[in-house]
Amino acid sequence: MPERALSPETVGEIMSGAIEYFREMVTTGRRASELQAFGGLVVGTYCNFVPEALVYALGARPVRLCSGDREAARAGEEQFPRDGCSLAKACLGQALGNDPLFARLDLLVLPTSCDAKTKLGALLAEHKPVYVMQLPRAKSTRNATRLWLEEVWALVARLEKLAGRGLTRAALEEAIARLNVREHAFRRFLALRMRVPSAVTGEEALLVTNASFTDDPARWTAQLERLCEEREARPAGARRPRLLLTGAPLIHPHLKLMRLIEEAGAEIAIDELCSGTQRLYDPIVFRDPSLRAMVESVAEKHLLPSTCPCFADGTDRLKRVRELAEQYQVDGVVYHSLRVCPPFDLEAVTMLRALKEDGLPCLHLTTDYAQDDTEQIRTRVAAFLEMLRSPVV
Amino acid sequence: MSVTTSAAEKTKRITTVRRVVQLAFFLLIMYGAFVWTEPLRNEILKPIPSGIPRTTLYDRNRILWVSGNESVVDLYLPVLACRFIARGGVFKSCSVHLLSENMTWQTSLRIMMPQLFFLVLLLALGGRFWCGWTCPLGAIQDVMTWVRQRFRRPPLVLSESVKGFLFKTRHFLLFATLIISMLIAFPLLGRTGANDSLFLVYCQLCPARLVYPPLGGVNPCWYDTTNSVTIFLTGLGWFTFGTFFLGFAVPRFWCRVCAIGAMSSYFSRGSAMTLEKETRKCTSCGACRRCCPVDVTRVYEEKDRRVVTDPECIGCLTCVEVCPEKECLSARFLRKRLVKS
Repeated sequence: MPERALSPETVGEIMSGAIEYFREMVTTGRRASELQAFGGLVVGTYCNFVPEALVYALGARPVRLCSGDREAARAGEEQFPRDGCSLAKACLGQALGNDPLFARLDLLVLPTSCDAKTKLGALLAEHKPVYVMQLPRAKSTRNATRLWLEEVWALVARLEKLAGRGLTRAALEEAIARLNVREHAFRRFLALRMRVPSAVTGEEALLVTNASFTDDPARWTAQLERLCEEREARPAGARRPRLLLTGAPLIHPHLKLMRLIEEAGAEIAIDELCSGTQRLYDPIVFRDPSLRAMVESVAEKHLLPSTCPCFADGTDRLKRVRELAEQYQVDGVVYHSLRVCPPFDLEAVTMLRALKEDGLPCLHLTTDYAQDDTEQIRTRVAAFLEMLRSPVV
Repeated sequence: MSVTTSAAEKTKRITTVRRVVQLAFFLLIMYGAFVWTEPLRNEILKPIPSGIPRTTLYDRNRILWVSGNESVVDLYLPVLACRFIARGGVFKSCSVHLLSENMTWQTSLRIMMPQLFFLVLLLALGGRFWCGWTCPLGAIQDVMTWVRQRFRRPPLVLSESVKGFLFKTRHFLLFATLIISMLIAFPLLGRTGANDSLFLVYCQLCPARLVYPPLGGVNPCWYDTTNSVTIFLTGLGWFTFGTFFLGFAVPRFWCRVCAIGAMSSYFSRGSAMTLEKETRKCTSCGACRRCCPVDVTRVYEEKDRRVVTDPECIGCLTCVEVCPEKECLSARFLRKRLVKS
């Protein structure tokens, strides 16, 4: 086993080598300049609800715009009300500033998930054409799926018009296959996190998933396979407290929470964020090879497994957190609320109660893109970890 | 790319096995009697003696004309093994046929007991899994679906009200058949010549009566103009024969109407074969609901209970096959896991 023969330093170097690709994708303007050179349509999307497969099948490229950029959030404050969340402000800030990626976009597709995103459309429309998709507020009823399917078909019509070509069965089948390869590789990556201790840090995992917001799926998948190969050969380190992170999305560069927790000596063994695991976990499953059945499977993939608190029923997320907590053998749960984001805050009430009844220690942190509460959070995290280490009978 | 091929292999395995089983049962039920020409009889499996209408209706020009051969074994199955199969078939007939004709003949329970016991045993063991794995009429419909999918045509989506109507029709057909079978024996509404023509009324409108004989190279009785009742039933038979071909548009269309399936469905929840769901592992992705050929929603909707066998479920296990979550769905026999997602 040549891998075992490597010194820890060399292993570290290789490790950083593989993750560097993802770090580059989220921190630099590489993808933006690539897309500038790209001849086809580039479609900006928000949240996890816009079916990427349709965009790819029409020869266009989707780019998820949800932003964690503090500077963009500041810029957004110019127009966005003060009591809006950082994420929405940052999304607007991209438009107000001269973001090269935003400038390249041909269309914005905005689902009406939360109130902030719903009203963002009118403000964004001053900069780019915006297509609003009506997201049902209760996702699992038959009416909800029917409405969503119609919304997706309407999006298809809009994209077809813009692309000047029709959506074909073969193109969609190919796009789905390509994305499923990505999802499959992602599950291999998750197996690394299932190890005790995890072979990737929570922050690295977020870099990986964040990179997929804009990256080409095939290249991203190849790089992820590379990362997996490296990490699978990595010798295990010391066990640290394992935590599960759920709640509001963390998007680069707003990885403060992740960093603080891991610096304090714990590892985020698994996250349940829409900017993380949730984004790439579910494959697109269809049986009937007709175009209609495929569009349906694509539409449902983006709606049904979502654990976004913008939906009335939060039990899916609770169930998911419980399952992940068991699978990844976590010692506690960190619940992240984004300041002035009512959906996550509201769901925290029932969810944290249920998790505590399960005997899982929980830490509820509320923060936003500002840095002023860093030390406060650090102290709370340290206290939480202290509590985990010395179990009270 | 090796990882994806293994995933694809996994998703094909159950269906491949099912196709083989379906083909085997299709050949056995439809063509077995071409191989085993001598009926197998013993003390337990002796044929139930028939009553009066048999002699009056089983002629060449009558709707209920059978091939003239006896079946190899005198057993009734909870699937569409049929009296009208060429050369009599291996098995006697279906469960509805058994009840229908013996109610009319007023066969004593003592004589029927071995047959009923065997039938209930099969249903207690397999519930409606027989429908998905052994029914020849089901297999034909699966071929229809395969043909449609080859042409990449989308399926026809039935509205909720149509599904509800078909669900009611199924149970109505079953009970109407049993009541009519009784009324011939006990003519409370008066005895007319029409009563005899209503013998085995379900068979007269079941598409299998017209579909099966040609597959064995035999001409079924396409029409019977003896009296107004037979003319009406001929028409009804033609209508259901037509709807059977809706199977090209709707997966397993006739299974949603079939009275045999309706009867088997009463055993679904209690049978030894179960479909189980580890609800916590479910991410509600909806793959099971999307891929189900008979539009079962229970597997998707169930959030607490383990057993998700639905009366509509034909046990094809497509859901187990497509479920992306490891060990979330499984098919079990007496709680012992046979296959899992």
